[in-house]
Amino acid sequence: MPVAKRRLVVVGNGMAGARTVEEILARGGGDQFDVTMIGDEPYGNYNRIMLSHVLSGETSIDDDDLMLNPMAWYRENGVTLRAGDSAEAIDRFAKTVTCASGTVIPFDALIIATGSNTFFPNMDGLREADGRLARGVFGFRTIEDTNGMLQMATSRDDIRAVVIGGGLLGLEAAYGLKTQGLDVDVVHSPGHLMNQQLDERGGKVLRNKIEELGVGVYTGKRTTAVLRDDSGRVSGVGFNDGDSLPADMIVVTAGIRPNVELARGAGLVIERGIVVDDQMRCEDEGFIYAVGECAQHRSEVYGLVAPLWEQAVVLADVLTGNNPDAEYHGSRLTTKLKVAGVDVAAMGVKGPEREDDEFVQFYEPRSGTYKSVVVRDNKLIGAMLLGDISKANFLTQAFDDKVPLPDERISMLFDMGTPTAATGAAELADDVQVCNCNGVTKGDIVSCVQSGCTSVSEVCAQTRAGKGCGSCKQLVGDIVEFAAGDTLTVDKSAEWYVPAIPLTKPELIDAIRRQDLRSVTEVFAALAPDGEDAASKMPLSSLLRVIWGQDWKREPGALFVNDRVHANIQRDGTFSVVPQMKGGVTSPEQLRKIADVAEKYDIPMIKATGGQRIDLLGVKKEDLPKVWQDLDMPSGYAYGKSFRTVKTCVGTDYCRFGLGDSTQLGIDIESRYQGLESPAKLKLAVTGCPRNCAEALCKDFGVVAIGDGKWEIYVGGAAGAHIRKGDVLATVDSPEEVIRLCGIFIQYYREQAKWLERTYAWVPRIGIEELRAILVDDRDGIVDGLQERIDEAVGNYVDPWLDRAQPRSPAQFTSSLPLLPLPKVPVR
Amino acid sequence: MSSTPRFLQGVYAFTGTGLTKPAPIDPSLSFVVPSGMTAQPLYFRGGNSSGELISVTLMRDGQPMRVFPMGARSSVNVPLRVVEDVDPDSTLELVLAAPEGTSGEVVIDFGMVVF
Repeated sequence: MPVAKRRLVVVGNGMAGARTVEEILARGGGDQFDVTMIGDEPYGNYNRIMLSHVLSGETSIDDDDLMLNPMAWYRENGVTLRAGDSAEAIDRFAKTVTCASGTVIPFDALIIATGSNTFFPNMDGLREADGRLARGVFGFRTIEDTNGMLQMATSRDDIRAVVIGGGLLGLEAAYGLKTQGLDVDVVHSPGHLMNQQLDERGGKVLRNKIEELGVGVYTGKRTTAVLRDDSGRVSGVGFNDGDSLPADMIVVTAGIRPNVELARGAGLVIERGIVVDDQMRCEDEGFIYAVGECAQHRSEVYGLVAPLWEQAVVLADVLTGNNPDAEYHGSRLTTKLKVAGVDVAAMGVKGPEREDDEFVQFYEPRSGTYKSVVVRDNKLIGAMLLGDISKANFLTQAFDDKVPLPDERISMLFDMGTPTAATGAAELADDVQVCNCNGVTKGDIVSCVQSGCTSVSEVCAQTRAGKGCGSCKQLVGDIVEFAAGDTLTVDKSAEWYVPAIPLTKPELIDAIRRQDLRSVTEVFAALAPDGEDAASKMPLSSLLRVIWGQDWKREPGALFVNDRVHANIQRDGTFSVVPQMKGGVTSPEQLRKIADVAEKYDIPMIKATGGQRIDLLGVKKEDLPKVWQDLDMPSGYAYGKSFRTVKTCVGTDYCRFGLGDSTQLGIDIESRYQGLESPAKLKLAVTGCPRNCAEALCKDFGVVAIGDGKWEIYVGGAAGAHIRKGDVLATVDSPEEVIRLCGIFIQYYREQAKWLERTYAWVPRIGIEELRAILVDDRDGIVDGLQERIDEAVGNYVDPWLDRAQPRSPAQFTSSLPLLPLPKVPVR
Repeated sequence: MSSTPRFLQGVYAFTGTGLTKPAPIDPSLSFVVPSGMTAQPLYFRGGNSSGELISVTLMRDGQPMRVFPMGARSSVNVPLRVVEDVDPDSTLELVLAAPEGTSGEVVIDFGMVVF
């Protein structure tokens, strides 16, 4: 008889909670437990360390590097995630957790991973009367904080920010805001920056570097007040010595405090954090555990990520019975990171503490280099490197007692006949942690290489090494190089169109044309050294359609479901159908027909889209051909990686301000380029005056009438997950010229851009000047060729909805299982 | 690296001036939180050799923060489970009150972390 699964509830979906669940699943815990996670943020699990990169604009919120476990991960692993809900109370005796939503979740084992909160020191004016933070005051811990800061930073010009707290996080915040173009001051109450990790000299070197960035640094100043103007808006900060600084925005990074309210309410033993034993078990409780920043282990509360990983491993071993005797004995902290562009590594004590401690220092403020080591009884008990951290790996090992110290102490700071960085990789012990963000050891990397990954990017993808702060990428590369030896493959693949075929996109197009390859299978056979690769199929079939139009050999297996059935799949497995409605213009007859079809097929929702079309949602797959038949309209392309719609305003017909006939131009563009296959979707708009009712400035290709018969063309704009104002490609003086340039631009994009690369990424990557030179001025003499190929593509256009007469495959329009057993989409 | 333990401890002779009239015990039982740092008191252990109830009080900038009464010839061990921050530049001090005329020795071990 199968044993009933135990119920495991995890409160907290942060880095510690999710990592623990990952470790549990990796030990086969999925068969032992029904896992429920409660997270009060409405996302999957993300990497807080990356928020600094988000703030400085190096990463975006929807980036893969930021999200550690997207929502799909929870589904795939059978983990129930209650995102956006929070645990309000734990009943230790009834073994239940009560959520803010009122849900009561019973458990057999409970893990508390509530992490910590931003600490806001006592300051006058920090909060509103109702206890909320004043507008303009931020912590720096969550996506919400980061978004708030970004929004404020970009809301207007000349914003001054004051960052309170000059530790690691504060400097990252200051650097990020400076990158966003703000005036930034850092206020730190101890005498030097990053006093937790660095001594005074190190702090001085760091200060010089930070000041070079144009950030004001004030040390030895305690902030006692947030100043407000008469209307209550933040206007600055006040200090204990009576001084003040002006500010529109205040970021508080003065430390964190374990979030223990929930555990305290449950009557668990709390000191600085939730007190746990060596197996992460709470005092007096056999079935409640705590991990991460909320846990206090052997009197220590950790605020760095590396100890979390070690705790997660122990707890997973204990809970799954994989190793019931596993114990966590505390972590020796080494920090290696890049603070505001400066490399910093620190471990152990900051300076000599006893008479006979050896202390070696090197200080060169001019070049921004500072190094020191502290040795006691021939053991390394502390080290600090700033600027040049090439010796950090050796020192980390020495600190962990893995290698003996050289007699000549100075050689611990410089390469003087000691192993260089490269051989250093060879000499590292296998259990040395290389990536501190994701807890990857040298052994993990080596075994990954031995299992067949021979390029750095493969290894990084497999092990997650280098996917945190990124400071270890060099070393990971060294180790892969050392482990792979001659078999190392260089990562040219970054340039390739698909990973399976070692060619760039233009090379690949050329090869396909020359060898007359018409199907995905033929392309694999002729060009892929290792044969088929599932992930490459979709981009290849897209490319084949760009090259051959209707003459490509269609293979349904190479197509995404949307492209197989020419409709957009929805989360309950039904489809949405969008009839073409050029330029957003429709007629009573068309509307009547749509209404009839909707009634006939019980279409549950009819909705206007952002692109001015009518969306029929909830169509069953097997009804698709009949719906198209009855509509008898061409496809509106709301599903494809293709030319989609041209949004327009009413232009000159009815508008009192219109300067050009935008409606007609939009219809003309859409008629000509409808349905063209492209690397990613293309959204267009034409607007009749600079009031811009059709939002042409943030489209992939946008046109604005500016009077005197002139039209301004913007390319590379976006207003989705990413927001960008398009760049002006050209100003032309006739609608015909707009249509011509539009075709040239689209064809060049089709031939050059990477798979799924939207124009908002592609245009800045190529550069608008470069594009102008190639497409408008025809510097390279390729415009005629582009024109020829786009004409051919346009000439070959066939409405895909005509498939209804003769399905391309027997199963094309038969129903398949719904994707998810989700609750029915509500009918409004 | 992240926090440093600090202790105020020793054995001290005292003479009572009245339970409601606390007096400093010893200059070494006073601690000024360094600039830029924060302190969190964690526990108090104490013993009383006299035959009367005495009381040790933890003062923050002259205001009582915690009170630790100790019975005649007995000891206490108090883990401070509600831990709060003591701001930089604040003065922590232990003072003692005992009935007038009482004399004896008090054993004190007070632990905190500074970070």
